[in-house]
Amino acid sequence: MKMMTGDAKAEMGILSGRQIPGRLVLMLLSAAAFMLFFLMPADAEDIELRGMLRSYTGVRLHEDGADIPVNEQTVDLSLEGWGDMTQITINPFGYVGADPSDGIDLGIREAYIDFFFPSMDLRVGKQAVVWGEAEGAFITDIVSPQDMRSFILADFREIRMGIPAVRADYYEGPFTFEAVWVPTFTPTQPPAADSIWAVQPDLSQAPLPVSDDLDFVEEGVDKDLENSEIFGKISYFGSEINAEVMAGWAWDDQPLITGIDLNSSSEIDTIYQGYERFGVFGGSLSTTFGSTVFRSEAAAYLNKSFTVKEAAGLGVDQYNQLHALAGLDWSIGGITLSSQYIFQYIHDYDTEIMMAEEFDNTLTFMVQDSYLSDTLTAKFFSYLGMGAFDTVDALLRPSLTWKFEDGVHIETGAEIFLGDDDGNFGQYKDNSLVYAAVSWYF
Amino acid sequence: MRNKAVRITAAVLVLLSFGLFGISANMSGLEIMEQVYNRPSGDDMTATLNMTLTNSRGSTRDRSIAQYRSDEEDMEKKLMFFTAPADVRDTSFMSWSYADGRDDDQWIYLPALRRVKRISSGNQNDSFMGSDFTYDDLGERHPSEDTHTLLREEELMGKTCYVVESIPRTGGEEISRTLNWVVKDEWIGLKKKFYDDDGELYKELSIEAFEKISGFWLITDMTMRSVQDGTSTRISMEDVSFNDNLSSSLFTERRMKMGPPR
Repeated sequence: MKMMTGDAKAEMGILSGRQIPGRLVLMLLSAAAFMLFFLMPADAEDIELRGMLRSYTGVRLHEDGADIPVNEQTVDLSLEGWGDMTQITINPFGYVGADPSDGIDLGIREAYIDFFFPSMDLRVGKQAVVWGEAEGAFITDIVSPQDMRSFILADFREIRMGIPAVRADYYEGPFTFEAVWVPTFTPTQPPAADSIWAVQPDLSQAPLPVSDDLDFVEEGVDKDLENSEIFGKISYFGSEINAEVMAGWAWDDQPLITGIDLNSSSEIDTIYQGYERFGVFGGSLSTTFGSTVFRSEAAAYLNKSFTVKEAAGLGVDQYNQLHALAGLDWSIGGITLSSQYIFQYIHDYDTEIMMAEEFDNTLTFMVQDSYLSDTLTAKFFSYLGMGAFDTVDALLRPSLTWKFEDGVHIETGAEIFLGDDDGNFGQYKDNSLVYAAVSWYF
Repeated sequence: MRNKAVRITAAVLVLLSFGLFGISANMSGLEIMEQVYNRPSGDDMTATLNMTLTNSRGSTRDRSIAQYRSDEEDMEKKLMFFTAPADVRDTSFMSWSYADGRDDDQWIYLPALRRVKRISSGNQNDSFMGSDFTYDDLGERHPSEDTHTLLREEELMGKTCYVVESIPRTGGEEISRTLNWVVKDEWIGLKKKFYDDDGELYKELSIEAFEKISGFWLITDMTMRSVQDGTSTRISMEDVSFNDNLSSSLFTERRMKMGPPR
């Protein structure tokens, strides 16, 4: 988990999912509004406003007592309008945090217009794109960056950030051909610098001592046409199998340490972070064996950049990486179960690579059951990270949701982090918390 | 001349009656249930289902579903869009059922995940949306899955019904047997009792209304009562339409994400 300072973000003009979108987004939205105004029939058949209100409070228990690091009120709206062959969708949202001085955090997660043709759909505007078969892992699902505002978001939908894009889907029998053009790069939204989820890059393996007064400087990606991202996918939807094959020319959504500066004591006092290109191709499939659903997904990341130790400090080198998943979904006596094995491997691994292991293995397990006519749902989801099988860290997520009445959910649960400080989950072990949330859907 | 005509008519009616009774008397439980299974239901159907769930304390919750069905060659496709309440709105469910008896293919679209997900069809006895109906109850269970015995005939709702006992061929099912009241010659079920593996009455399906729409018999109002839990679910159908020549492009991943046609 990398971190950049708010100042650095401002300097580099990095846009968060919650800030006012950039110029291009506004242009796309304006274009969408223009098209909506002129192309939508005067007697637009329907306009609908729906949404969700949520109050979420997390209590962290520790030796000194308890604190409330999460006390958030969320408004999430969706305005949809339909024409004969078009649809607009606007999804504004607002967060009010625990600290009133932070004010209201407003944004537009998505704002797009759909054009529907007999064998083709076209979507233009800020949109979230979801691909693949994995749950809780991002393998071929790399088009939309993630909102890591908090390591744990109350709603899975909120993890994906909308990006300005043009997406076209062409349908031919059971096949769908999809192309996505992302004109400007949007990185993953990191946690705020003062968030409990913000972590410093692990520089313990750095070849030089690190200053206590460390600065981070982030180098953004210029909004040039040559920096746009493009993705393509062919999918098959059939009785025996669902399958997808995809490829893309993308930016890594996570910032990477690309260089350093030293102070007069030859300590690292400035870290330069940036974003690097890579190619990707992969696919996914799902099928059934009897009453069990088998899912798998794999992607090869070509020439993906990693931070490496160099004689003069830190630099960047490219490697090929494999990211794959196999999962099963089944049920026993009405209880739903699901398990996934997720595997990462860096080809031609070099020990000079920092903050990435040659092998990384993660197991997920989910069990869910409902009672009282589905009004009470108990769920347990866990990640078990095993690194190169020699370390263990985990995230355990038990929860209980009561549908108090139609559209009103009361949820309580826990987020329990286990493991060593250098583990993906263990690094947050001081952030284990219990929570309660009330959500109203309308 | 008139007397002769009356005598001939009477004879024909008697013969016809004997003939019918002869057919009835010779019909097995399996044949009756096959008649129910094969009852004409049109090439396709569109309907809105309103579902009211009542718990043991009498409080109710409402669900609304837009349903589309199409019979293709050796396959029935069904697509349901959940339109209310708000927390399940935009969820859609599609199933493809096969005449050869192999497991259904099923997919669900969850708007929170934004993904059409293939799901297991092995849980046919699971509750449908928390209701007293299971997926199996709402589908068409193939007669070959049970052994059927014609027990008797009874009057119900002014109709003569066959009472057929059906017992699953494979053991271990949650429901050990059912009793089915089937309207003679119309092959529509008017009542069904479900017994658990202890032989106790588990739940009971009653029909409040059925009607002929576009030449096809259809149950338009029914209630499932879970006797042991004290809960019930009523499903009423409206805006029913048959043979609209639904396009095969309706039963696709694309449509599941888009929502019902407007």
